[in-house]
Amino acid sequence: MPRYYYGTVPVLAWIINHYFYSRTHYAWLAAAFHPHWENPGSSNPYRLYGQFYEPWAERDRYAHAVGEYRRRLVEGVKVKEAAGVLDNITAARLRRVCASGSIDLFYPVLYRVEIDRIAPARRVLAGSGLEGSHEVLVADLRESEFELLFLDNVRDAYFPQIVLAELEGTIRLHPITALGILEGEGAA
Amino acid sequence: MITPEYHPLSREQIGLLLTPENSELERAWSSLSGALHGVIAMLSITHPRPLYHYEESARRDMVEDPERLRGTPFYAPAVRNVRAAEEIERMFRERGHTPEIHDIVDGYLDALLDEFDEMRLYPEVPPRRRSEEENGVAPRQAVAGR
Repeated sequence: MPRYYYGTVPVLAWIINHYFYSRTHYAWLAAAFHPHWENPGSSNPYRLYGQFYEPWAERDRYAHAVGEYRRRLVEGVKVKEAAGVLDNITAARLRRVCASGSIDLFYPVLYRVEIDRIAPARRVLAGSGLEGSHEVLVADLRESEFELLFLDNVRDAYFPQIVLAELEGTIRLHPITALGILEGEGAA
Repeated sequence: MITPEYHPLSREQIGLLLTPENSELERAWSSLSGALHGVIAMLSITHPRPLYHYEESARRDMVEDPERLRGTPFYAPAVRNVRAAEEIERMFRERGHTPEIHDIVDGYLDALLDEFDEMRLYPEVPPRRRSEEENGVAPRQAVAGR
């Protein structure tokens, strides 16, 4: 049986990586979905899933876990703008979406990766991974290298437009069209 | 011993920072807080691993961003927050994972995230909550190998 690793992110992270960062994903991956005894909560995909799912379900605008990812997504935009991946106008629009976009955009999704397909040089040990936690960082995960797993999201109108249609290949949205849909989701 | 802490901007300072004429200063402050968040979140066992954390870039920002704030009311708090982060890292190198350091790390991150919420929601005043009050945060006794 393949060795699968798992990582939880808000779907906004998948969307931005997919549409704006050349379908290259930054992913912390744990050796199990619920590594209860092996990993701290900071790298436990099951616990992180709950940290996103409940504020999403309750439309809790103030959840720290969501604020934390807003902070990191803004950081990602900064780094990509500095690297020339994003122009300054798109970066400014994305920053606004990441910092202030609707809580609906923080629906959790799961990356499942057959870890042995990732070259060891690309699996970085960092944080608790250096101290026995079963986790790796893959900062350049390609879409052919993971499955995207999620519960059906029938609540949010953007989800079938930007995520499902794209995964199914029925429609290919231009990134700026996708950005407009994200902006249309309104503020937090 | 003085506990190293993140000193968030006051409401008045946030209001000043968010005025249109201070947009460059706001970018510098935001950039610095992003770098500090990444560096300290890497030490946490409760906060999620930081997405898009590039160590080299964060270290550079910790040096350069305060300089972009020099001569403004934001310079001193920026320097204080960098020094507190460096002190936490020094303590971590010396002592490793201890309950005391976990509390310091989480306190630093909570204060930084409270400020982030205040800035993004300004002029609304968001409620202040600790991460531990939310679901899904790992109880420390569940962390193996510590």
